[in-house]
Amino acid sequence: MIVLGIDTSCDDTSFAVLNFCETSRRFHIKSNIISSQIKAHGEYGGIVPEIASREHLKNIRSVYEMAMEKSGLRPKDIDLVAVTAGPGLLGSLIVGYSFAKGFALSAKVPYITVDHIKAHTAANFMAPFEISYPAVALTISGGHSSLSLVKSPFDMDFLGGTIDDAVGELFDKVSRHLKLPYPGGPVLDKKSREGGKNYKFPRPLINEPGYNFSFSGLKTSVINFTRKNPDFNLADLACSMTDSICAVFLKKAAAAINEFGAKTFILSGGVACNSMIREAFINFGHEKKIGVLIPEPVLCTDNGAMIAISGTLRYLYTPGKNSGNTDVYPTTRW
Amino acid sequence: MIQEKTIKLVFNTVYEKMSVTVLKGSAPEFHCEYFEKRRNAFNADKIIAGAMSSCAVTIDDIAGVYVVCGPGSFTGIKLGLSVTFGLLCGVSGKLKADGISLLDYLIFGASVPAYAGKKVLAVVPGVKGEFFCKAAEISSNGPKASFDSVSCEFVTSSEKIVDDLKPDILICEPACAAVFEDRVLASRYAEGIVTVRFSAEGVASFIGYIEGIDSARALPLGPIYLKDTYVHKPKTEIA
Repeated sequence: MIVLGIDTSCDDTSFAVLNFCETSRRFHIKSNIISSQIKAHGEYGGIVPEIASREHLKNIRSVYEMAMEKSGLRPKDIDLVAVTAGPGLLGSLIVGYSFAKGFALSAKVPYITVDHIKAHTAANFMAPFEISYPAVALTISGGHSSLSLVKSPFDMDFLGGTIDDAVGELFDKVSRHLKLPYPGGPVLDKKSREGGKNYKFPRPLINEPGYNFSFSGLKTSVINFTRKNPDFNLADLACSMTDSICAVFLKKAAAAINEFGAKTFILSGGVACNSMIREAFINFGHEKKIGVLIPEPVLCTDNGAMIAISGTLRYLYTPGKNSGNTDVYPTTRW
Repeated sequence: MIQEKTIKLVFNTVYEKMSVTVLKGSAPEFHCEYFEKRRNAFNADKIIAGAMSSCAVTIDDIAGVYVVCGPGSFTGIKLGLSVTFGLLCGVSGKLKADGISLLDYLIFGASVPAYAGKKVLAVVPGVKGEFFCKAAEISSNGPKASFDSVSCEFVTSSEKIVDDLKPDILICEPACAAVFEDRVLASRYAEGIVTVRFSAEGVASFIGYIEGIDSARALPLGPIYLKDTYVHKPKTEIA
């Protein structure tokens, strides 16, 4: 089955063409093109929703054409279109969603809408039936921080999420305050490798029951610290802040693994590119003797491949797939 | 420009009322209008499919698509163009598409002998009280001569329309209620607002005019926004 995956949920326009072999039940990525809008949003220090949606419209055809050209396939080879319908920026979602509808109509193929957060987890599902379930999945990005219980590749239960800022927002807002280039996450990550855990920052909700996160207080604490200590060391600050984040994630992940008897831990989302967080979870896997899955960085950030994987699994294996629930209106929250 | 084969699809989503028209040759075969708040994107494909089904045609029979590129709702513009891009990509270049301006359509609709010699202003309301406009002087020699005097599209306020531009007639689509609700315009143009409906016959006539007489009204497939919504850089300091 050849699947076209489309993601325009935030500031990246992405198309991917994947082949799903129904015999081996493995995915093969034929192309995965991501067009970034960092330049367009850079001067604002963050994503401007209207600019994002206009950029999507400007880029959508060329990104599609690049993805098809790289795949070596033609529209008539596509068997299914999968598209993000939320959560995300509404104006941006509508561009990809409407394109998918037009494409499906003229190519005479079915389309399916996909939950973006679940799709991040699905970025680890190149061979979805070879993973030991249940698994606990942590999705961390600019818009989301959520913990889920993965019972099977197409059956996930939400355990908890952020009650205020997402972890990626924390990185972005702190870096904006420090006047670092946008996006700030990679800059702070690089700096953190040069520093030590010499500052003490709060670890929000670490001892609270449940699986919710809160990063707004940590953001304020870091910003206040830099105001009170103007001579702070940036590398130490980045390292200490990331250490606080890791501590919270590791504690919550361990609790979920124990509670649900998980055999695998899955990390995903744009912030999963952070080297300190990746390393912390790899070590966590060794300590707990549990399998840890983290996608390569290109599949951590928003991409069409994860949408294609999630859409295919939902289309082929979700009971009631033809009952009309394959089309969800674009939504800021799924 | 789309010619030769005869079946065309015309798609308008730039204000709340979405419409799909199927033309066979220069005659309207089917026209439907749809309005449900915040559901246009959800139903766009279903309405197009329904329109084709009503005319017993498939996408393979369609020679081309005309889509209204604006001005109007920014989300509506993106919706119409995105669906059109999807339609084009799904058949790998077998379908041709052109854009049309809603303001051109309004001026065309008002290009009748009754208004010859009148200064007209086609208006489409924006969401923040602004008006997207295009001015022209209606000629007695037909629409082509009227379009020879047409201005560029621009954004202005109702005060400037009344005080500076002072057109004889305002033209708008009847569904654009904000034009009728604007007090400044109502005080000056109580009797001088001409409505040009985005109807099956009107669409057929305008497309026929584009294909037969004035190909300059067929636009490249790009949005007509006329306005940046984010012209000022936000404060970057966090309180």
